[in-house]
Amino acid sequence: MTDYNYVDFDMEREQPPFLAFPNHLHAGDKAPDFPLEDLDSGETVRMKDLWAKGPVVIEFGSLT
Amino acid sequence: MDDLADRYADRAVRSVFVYTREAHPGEHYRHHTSMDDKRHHARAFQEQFSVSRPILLDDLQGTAHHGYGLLPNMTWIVGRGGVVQYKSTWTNAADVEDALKVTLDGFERRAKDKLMPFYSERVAWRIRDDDDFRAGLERAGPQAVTDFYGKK
Repeated sequence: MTDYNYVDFDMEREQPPFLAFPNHLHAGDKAPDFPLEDLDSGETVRMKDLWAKGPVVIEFGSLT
Repeated sequence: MDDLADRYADRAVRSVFVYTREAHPGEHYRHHTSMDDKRHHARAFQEQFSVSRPILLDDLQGTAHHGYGLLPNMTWIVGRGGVVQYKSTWTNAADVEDALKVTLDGFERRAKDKLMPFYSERVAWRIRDDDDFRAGLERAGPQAVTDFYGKK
């Protein structure tokens, strides 16, 4: 957990995911489903429910 | 991206923001040690940027973030039923909109016009905005600036 939530940004540590991204999961592949927590309601949202009725645009990010 | 979400909401397009770890932790916004840290920072993000899209928190270990490639500000479009339509290392609203139009057009016309999907890949370009990026690091705290640009 501490590895994932690193204390300080390190450029060298950041490079491997960028290099791996093109081969990670492709357009045309089945999107993986994970549970997430809705910030406003606190309820669990499954990603597969997001695309059940139409397309979904999913941006990942943080304040920093 | 909120503007894009508003403009396509009436075409049954959902838009969400998945909150990950802090990409550039600093004195003002440290790395998360609990879900409460994560919720607290996500609320600050929601308020500071007036985010209108639903914000969905990944778990503390970043399970979904790992599953989608672990990049700090990527965007994915998933079509109805769960097939990936678009993936991008960086979030650029114009590029996302371009891809979204292709996705919607294909899904809407595929039966009538006998459309077949095909795979396409490209490199896109964005404006490099160093001032804006640096302002973001300064918001996180002096440490975030030093970690990125090095000690001067």
